[in-house]
Amino acid sequence: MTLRHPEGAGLGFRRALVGPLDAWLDQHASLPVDFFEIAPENWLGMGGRFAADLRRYTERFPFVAHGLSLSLGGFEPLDEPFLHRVRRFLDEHGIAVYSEHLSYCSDTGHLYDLMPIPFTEEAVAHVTERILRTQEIVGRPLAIENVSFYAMPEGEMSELEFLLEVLQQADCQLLLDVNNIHVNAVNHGYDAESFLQAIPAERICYGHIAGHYQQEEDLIIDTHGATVIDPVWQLQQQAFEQHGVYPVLLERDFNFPPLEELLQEVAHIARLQAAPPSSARSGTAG
Amino acid sequence: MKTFQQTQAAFAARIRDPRAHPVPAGIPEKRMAVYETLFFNNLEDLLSSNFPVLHEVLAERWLELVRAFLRHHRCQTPLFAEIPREFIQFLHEHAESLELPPFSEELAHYEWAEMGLAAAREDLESLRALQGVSVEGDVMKGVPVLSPLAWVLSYQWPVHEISVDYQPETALEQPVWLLVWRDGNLKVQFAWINETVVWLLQHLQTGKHSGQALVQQLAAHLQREDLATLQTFTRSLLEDYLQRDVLLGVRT
Repeated sequence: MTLRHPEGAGLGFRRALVGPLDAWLDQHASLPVDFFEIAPENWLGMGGRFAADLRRYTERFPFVAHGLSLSLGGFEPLDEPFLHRVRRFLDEHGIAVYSEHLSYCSDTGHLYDLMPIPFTEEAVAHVTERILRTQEIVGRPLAIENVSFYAMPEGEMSELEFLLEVLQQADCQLLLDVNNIHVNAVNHGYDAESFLQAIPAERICYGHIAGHYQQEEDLIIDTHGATVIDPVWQLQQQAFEQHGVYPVLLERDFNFPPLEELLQEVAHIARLQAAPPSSARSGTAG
Repeated sequence: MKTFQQTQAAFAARIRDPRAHPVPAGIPEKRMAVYETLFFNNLEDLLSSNFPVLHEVLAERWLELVRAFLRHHRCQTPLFAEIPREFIQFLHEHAESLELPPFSEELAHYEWAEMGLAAAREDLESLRALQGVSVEGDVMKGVPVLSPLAWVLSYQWPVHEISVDYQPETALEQPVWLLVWRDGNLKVQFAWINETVVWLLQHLQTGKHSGQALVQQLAAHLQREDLATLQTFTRSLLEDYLQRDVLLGVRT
């Protein structure tokens, strides 16, 4: 399959969405989603109706792949056999872009969620080496994502310094998640706008936007289970103004509303992308 | 191990087992607790949606089991759909120390089978081409070939009847046999089968005997002389299985 790159406004492809998406496409000539994103860990190795569902959509829409289990920051050896499978999977579905979290999700076994890497020089070197090896095996550039976190293990630098250093040393691309910037700014008391300003525009490959759950005044849990809030839309608008327009997708992992509501949020991304910077306006979706 | 990696290991150890490991230095207890809860709940959600009956039957012991899995097991698969298999492996390896009801392992396997088969990689059309079988052939003259997507499972416990209100304490005298298969519409089907059918399916698995030859062998096995009755029975069973994709096809 020819490799396809993402453009415009996208949506996270989840098993729970296949039914609503099929129903939408039965009733409408088109679907206002420019591209989809999948986690290889949820689809790779799946046959039967799962493979058939995915195939129908990858034949019709461009997809990007967003990894969950690679554990770029982990201390066990990189899972190279898995990366070879990822490469075949990306080739089979014509997926040009592969991203992963700047994080780790395993010790001597998988824990299936993200833990914060201590921000140290040694960690930068370690992650850099693993990014380069990953790119070599999957035969594509890897985009790393700035992740949300709730506790910061002792380190030598700030999150921003760590992120910039890895981007530079690995000479890799960035999956920019503005919701994660907002979450971390609240959780760790830093300024979201200046964090965003310091991001090197030329490294941005694509972006994520999502909703979250504010548990306390100074604690947000990055659930991807709610609608995107205004301050995050504003941050997204600011990102387009400062760094230029780039492809962005809405992540929604549970607590799914009717598809129409998700499509309104996708349309909101598209409006921000289309608006000239001076007249761009923010507000809730729809 | 480098210093930052020791920190990482301590962080993960605390998530796995907060009672046995301290909060790593410099991290507020409250924030560490966010991770402890998140990771545990993620795993618990995934397992209870894959094993709803076992979850219900174990009631309050379920959470202890999930904790034991997180504490003792090291999942090696990066793939989320394979976590249930790691869980079954864990139940098997720790059957004694977990002190669960004796049917737990089989119940978990039974609950997994449907998803396992729904997601299996094999595809009937390619298998037919590969094995050179046809869905048109005569099941008695040709060699009926069992679909690799048809599993014959046996259980020592009445796994299909177990519920909160029915938790047997002794195993069955005779195992129950279950045929699970994925049909051409990618749907998983179940059928309870008797020992004669099991015998036939097991002999089909060799992929060598014609339907006719199977009847002869079945007659010898059952020590019966009414070949015509067995022939009618076998033909109708095999034709039905061919129709419903339990058989991949017939080799002529």
